Amino acid sequence: MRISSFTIYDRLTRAMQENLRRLYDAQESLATGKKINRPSQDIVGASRALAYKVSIKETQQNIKNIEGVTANLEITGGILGDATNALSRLKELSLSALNGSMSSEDREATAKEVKELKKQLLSLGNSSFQGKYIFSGLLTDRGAFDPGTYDYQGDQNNLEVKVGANAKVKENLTGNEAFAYVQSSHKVVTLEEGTKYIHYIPGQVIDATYPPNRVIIAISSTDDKSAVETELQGGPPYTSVEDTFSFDNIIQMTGKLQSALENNNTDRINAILTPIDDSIGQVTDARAELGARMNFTETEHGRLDNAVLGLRTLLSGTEDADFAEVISEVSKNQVALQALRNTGARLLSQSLLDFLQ
Amino acid sequence: MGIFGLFDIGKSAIFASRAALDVTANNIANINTPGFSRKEAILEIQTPGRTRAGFIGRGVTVGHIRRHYDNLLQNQILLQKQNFARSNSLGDVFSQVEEVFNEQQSPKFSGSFNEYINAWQEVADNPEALPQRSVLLHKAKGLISMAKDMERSLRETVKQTDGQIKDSIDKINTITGEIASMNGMITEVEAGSSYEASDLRDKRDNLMGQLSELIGFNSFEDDSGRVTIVMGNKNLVEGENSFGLASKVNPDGTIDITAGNDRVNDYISRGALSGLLASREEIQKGPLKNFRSLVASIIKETNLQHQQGYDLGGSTDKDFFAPLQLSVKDYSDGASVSSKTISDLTQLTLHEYEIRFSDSSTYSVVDLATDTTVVPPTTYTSGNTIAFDGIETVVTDDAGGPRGGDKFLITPLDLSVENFALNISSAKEVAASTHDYTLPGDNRNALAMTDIYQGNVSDIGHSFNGYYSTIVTLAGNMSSTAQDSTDFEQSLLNELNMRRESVSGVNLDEEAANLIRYQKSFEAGAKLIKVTDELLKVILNL
Repeated sequence: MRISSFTIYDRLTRAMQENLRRLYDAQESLATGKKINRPSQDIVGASRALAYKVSIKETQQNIKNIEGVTANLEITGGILGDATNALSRLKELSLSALNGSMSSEDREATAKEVKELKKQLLSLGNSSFQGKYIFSGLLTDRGAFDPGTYDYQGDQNNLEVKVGANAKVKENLTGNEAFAYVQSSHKVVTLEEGTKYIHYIPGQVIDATYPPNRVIIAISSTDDKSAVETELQGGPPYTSVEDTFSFDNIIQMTGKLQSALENNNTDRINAILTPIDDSIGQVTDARAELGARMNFTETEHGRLDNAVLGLRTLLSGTEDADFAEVISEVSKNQVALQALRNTGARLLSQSLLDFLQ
Repeated sequence: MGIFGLFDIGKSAIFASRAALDVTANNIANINTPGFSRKEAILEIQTPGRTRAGFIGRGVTVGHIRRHYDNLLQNQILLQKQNFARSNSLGDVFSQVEEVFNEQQSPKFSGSFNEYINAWQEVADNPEALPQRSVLLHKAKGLISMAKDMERSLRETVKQTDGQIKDSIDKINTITGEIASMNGMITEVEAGSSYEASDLRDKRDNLMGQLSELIGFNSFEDDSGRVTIVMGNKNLVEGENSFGLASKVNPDGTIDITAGNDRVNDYISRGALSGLLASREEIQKGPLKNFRSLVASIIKETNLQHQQGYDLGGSTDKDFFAPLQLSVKDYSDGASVSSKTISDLTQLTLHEYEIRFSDSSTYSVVDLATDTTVVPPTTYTSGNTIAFDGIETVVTDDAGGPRGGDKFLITPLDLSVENFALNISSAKEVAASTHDYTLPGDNRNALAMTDIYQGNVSDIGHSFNGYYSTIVTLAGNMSSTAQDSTDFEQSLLNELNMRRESVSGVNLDEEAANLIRYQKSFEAGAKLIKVTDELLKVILNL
């Protein structure tokens, strides 16, 4: 093949261009730290990298969500702990108030402490965290319990927070879940031989096995004696209900205890003992529920942390440059370019014309 | 032959050497001229004189100047240049498109969109908190401006392509004009002589080389040396005449290339012009349309969910993003679409529809995406509502009414990104709740929103992120295919150019050798005259 001067020049410049392009690519990889700098360099890799990035963002948001939930659960747990302590103290005070050696003045003194406990329980029930009331359900802009009547004024819904693609966790307990007084079945407590008082659940008829005796106290849904008597007509022949009172939650219960102490009404104090036990049980159950949720969020947190780590590793393996490889590529190309320049300089500078005198 | 004949021989040697030196000098001078073919002076013996001893030569003459040229190779190069130019212009345009969707260097749509989703999550975590809601609006604005920037880049790429198409057509017209005038000059110079107008031909070849970078064509030469350039069934150059191309933009944004009154797009199969036309179409049908579909789908699904929720003030049925709008492309003269509304967003498919008139009183509506008839042939009354798939349109007469073959293209996609905007203005208006009374802590609508963003959407057949990924992959594929074929065509072109250089290229060493060779023969011719002169003197002094 005949070689023209342009052929030599052209081949040299093209080889040089090719080398420079490889150097440029390698340098771009070094500058950005990535081996995929645009999708066309590795289409599959780029689309994977994109999916990994999306997953990382999503997972990080889930972790953020979990951290928010965990903080709320921890705060709620702490409040329930305080509530348990208050209830235990309430129980101690009721028991000691029933002691026969207690005078009415002593009971009034105890009533003062119970009043403080009532205030404490109210403030626990109306706790807020990050600007929202914890126990109000989704009505987070108001305290859970009315400071005058102590009625629950939140709603019954839980705030659910996303912690994974298909996993949600409840962030709150409603005031009812934590503090409402709901007797699970009727209870009959014998006070003295032949005399009973009853904790009564409306609509539920008391066993016929109990002998017909008078009811000295009914804890019912209403303070209206005759209404309770009417309701009791379907059961054993209860002749009369002597006293009845009602409360919906532990704050109101504490209030009833306080007034029983103030009025020196030992029957009522006696009657409230069982609800106090039930309430302690309920708050403990609620704490167990929180514990279970926290267990879940903790496990999920760990799992998501691992997932982010795994995704980062995958992303790095997909798009990051192997520096050792790139640097060796750079030096390889530098050597080749050097050689090309050397030979090129010699080749291009020589001509027969140099020898014409 | 007398002794004076020696003078003639010497003279012929000097003349021939001079001529050969001229050719060599011209070769050297044109070593870097594109399209130049090496010339060679072909020396011949002058008709010999007859003597009693036989024929004796009467010196040398330049028979003709040979142009080192391979016609077949030249045609191959022209063809290959056309192939390369097509791939190269596709590659140039597609690499710009790829850059629009390149999330490898910095986050683009995917980055903004996922930040926006996370902002919804934050609202779901704290539905009553204003800061989170404000962040959501802020992120939504970020998403909107990112989407708009990206669409604008794509539209600008298309616009640039339009500009390049116009430039190419101007260049093509200039070059074909020059080739036609070259044809005239070559015929004139070569008429009645047996010599080739070789430098003019080199020049014309060079022009054809330039033309082949712009457009695909075939060429042949007639007996008088004029070249005819044919594209499809149209002559671009015939004899000394050239026929210009023109371009026209259609209502749907496509470009027609015309020669005379005929559309010739289908004949343009190679060259940069064909690459530009193809890239333009591929961008519009591929990444641009898909991206608009994606945004339209996000607007539709977001608004449908948002309408169901309640904001902090207890209001409901509000759009989060500004509602989608329809656009119409009008392919008729006598009628127009006087109104177009989306009557039922839930029914909207994000497909494109065509209202087609089979005659002046009958129309039907076809879903272009599925090619199904959604409204069977119906009698047309001007001003009546035409309803289909959540869309209501009214066609009215404006100049004589519709004619058979008229059509209107109705699409919810074209303006989706251009009109992409927030509909709500304050953080309180984010409908995070599902309750018709004020329930500030309710996050269920916000949760439902994040579920929509992360789940599959039937209109696009993917999740939003998944669908976006297919657009990125498409853009990457387009670019990488074009780059690969550019590299391939380039290497073929290089190979052909090498072979052409091998035949037609100038080698300086060779020319230097020739310089010495003809210098020596010139000197020898001069010496011959001197010797003859001395011989004459000897004779005259006898």
